[in-house]
Parts: sequence; structure tokens; C-alpha cells
Amino acid sequence: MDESIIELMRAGRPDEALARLVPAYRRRVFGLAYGILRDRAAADDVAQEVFVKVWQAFDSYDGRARLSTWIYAITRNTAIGALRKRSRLVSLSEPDVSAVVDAMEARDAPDDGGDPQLWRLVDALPEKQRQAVVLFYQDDRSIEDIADMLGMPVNTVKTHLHRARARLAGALDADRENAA
Amino acid sequence: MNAEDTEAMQALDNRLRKMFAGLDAAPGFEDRLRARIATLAVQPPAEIRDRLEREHDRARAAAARAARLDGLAVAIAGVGGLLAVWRFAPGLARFYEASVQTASPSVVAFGTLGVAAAALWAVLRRFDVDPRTLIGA
Repeated sequence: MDESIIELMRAGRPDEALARLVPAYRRRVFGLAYGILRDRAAADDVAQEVFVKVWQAFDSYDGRARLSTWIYAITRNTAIGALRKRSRLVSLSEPDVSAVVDAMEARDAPDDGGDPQLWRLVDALPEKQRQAVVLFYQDDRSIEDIADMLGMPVNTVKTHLHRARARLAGALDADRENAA
Repeated sequence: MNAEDTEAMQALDNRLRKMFAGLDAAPGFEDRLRARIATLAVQPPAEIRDRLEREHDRARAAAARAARLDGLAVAIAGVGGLLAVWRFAPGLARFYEASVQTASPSVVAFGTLGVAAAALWAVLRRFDVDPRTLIGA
């Protein structure tokens, strides 16, 4: 798939390349952005921006890195940029406005998978653990794929995933005991 | 890990899978992207031209600034050189004559050439000229 996209890029047919690229990468780009931002609307905006950037930068892709690696790097940078921008906006606001933003973000948790309790616990995970969990369970991806997406070694991803699962299981147990 | 733990982990895995299965961009993502790119595709020529012109203007201004600074540096060095000659020439002449009398002429000649070559090297490097290119090396 990537080869045909690269061929189209090199043939100067960026629109056709993008038409193939988006369905292949949309969920991955969105998942990666969501793992960083914890906000669906913001992740959607970032995903749009990523594909625009990719489309604009087709000429500068030199093939040294894999296409996927290149796209994930753009996604991480764009999402981190959006996160910084949002943090600046929130830090410039009044404290009560920050609380409102937090509440909106919590409410913004996707509800199509149900399970608000688990969304809350996943959102509370440390950043890297959360990203690993989102990407692993979104499409049953391999650890190698996730390592490529996050730009980190395979063993680090395994560790994050292992710790995240243990933490989630522990938190669910604690919730059950509190409820009992 | 006992059977109960394994079951709990499997249940957690299933819940996570179910939860994230629907994690995707909002409907109409491709249409919105196409519309956005169509807008960009129409705009770029003018925008790119403007951006390139701005970059050229900046580069031209930087080059002019660098040239002014270089001119100023040459002028200061020239004035400094003249003052140095005015101030130190008699002493240097006496030192040179004394050196010629005490050392062999060839040593004085090589020394003078060495100082001149070092000064030339420094001036050429200042203007980003590789002296080796002058002798075809």
C-alpha cells in the first residue's frame, strides 16, 4: 500500500496519493493524536492538519524513513504543538475557567464505546501508558507498530502497556471495593 | 497470576477493545479534508509567491547588512592600519634593520613572508574564501 502511495507522490499526483493515504492512515493518525490530546474534537482537528501537512510536503518526502514513520512523526509534532497551544490558553485563563475546560474535556470522552468508568481511568493514566493503551486496543495493533507510531523502542512500549494494564486492573478493583 | 487474575485481565482487555473500537475521526472526515485542500490548492500560487518574495526581501536585507558591516570593518581596519604605520613604522624599521644585521637575511625574509601569509589567510577566511582554491588545491 505504502509503495503505491509513494509512487503516486513521486509521479506528481498528490491528490490521488492522498485519496489512498487517508483511509489507510486515518484511524492510526486519529488514535495517535487522541492518545496525546485526550480530546476527540482536538484529535480530529490535528488529524486534518496532519493530512494537509503531508499533502503539502509530498515533495519533501525523500524516502529515507518509512512513509508511516514520517506520517507518525508529523502527527506527534502536530499533536504536541496543539497540546502546548491549549496549555498556554488554559494557563492564561482564570483558574475557574481552567476547571470548566477540565470538566468539558472529561465530558468530551467518547461515549460510543460506553464504559465511562474505564474512560476516566484511561484518561488518568500517565501520558505514555495512555498512548500505548489507546493504540494497542484501538485496532489490536502489534507492539512493533505501536513502537513505530510512538517513536520508542519495542520493549518500552511493552513496559508501558504492562504497567497500564496493571494500573487499570488495580483501579477497577479499588472501585469495586469502594462500591461494595 | 492465578486463574481469577487471568480472567479479570481478559475481561479488562475485552472492555478496552470494545471501548476503543469506535475511536475514529468524526463522520465526513474525508469530505472536510478534501474541501480544505481544495481551498489550499486554489490559494497557494499567490501565497507562495508572497512568501517567497518576503523570504527574498529578508535575504537581500541580510546580505546588505552583512556588506555594510564588512565595509565598516574594512574601513576601521584601514584606519587602524594607517595609524599603526604612523605610530609604529619608525620603531619597526629600526627593529627590521637590527634583525637583518643579527639574523641571516633568509630567516628575516621567511619570517616576513610568514607574517604576510598569515594576514592574507585571515582576511580571505573572513570573506569565506578558501585560500586553497586560489592555488587550485
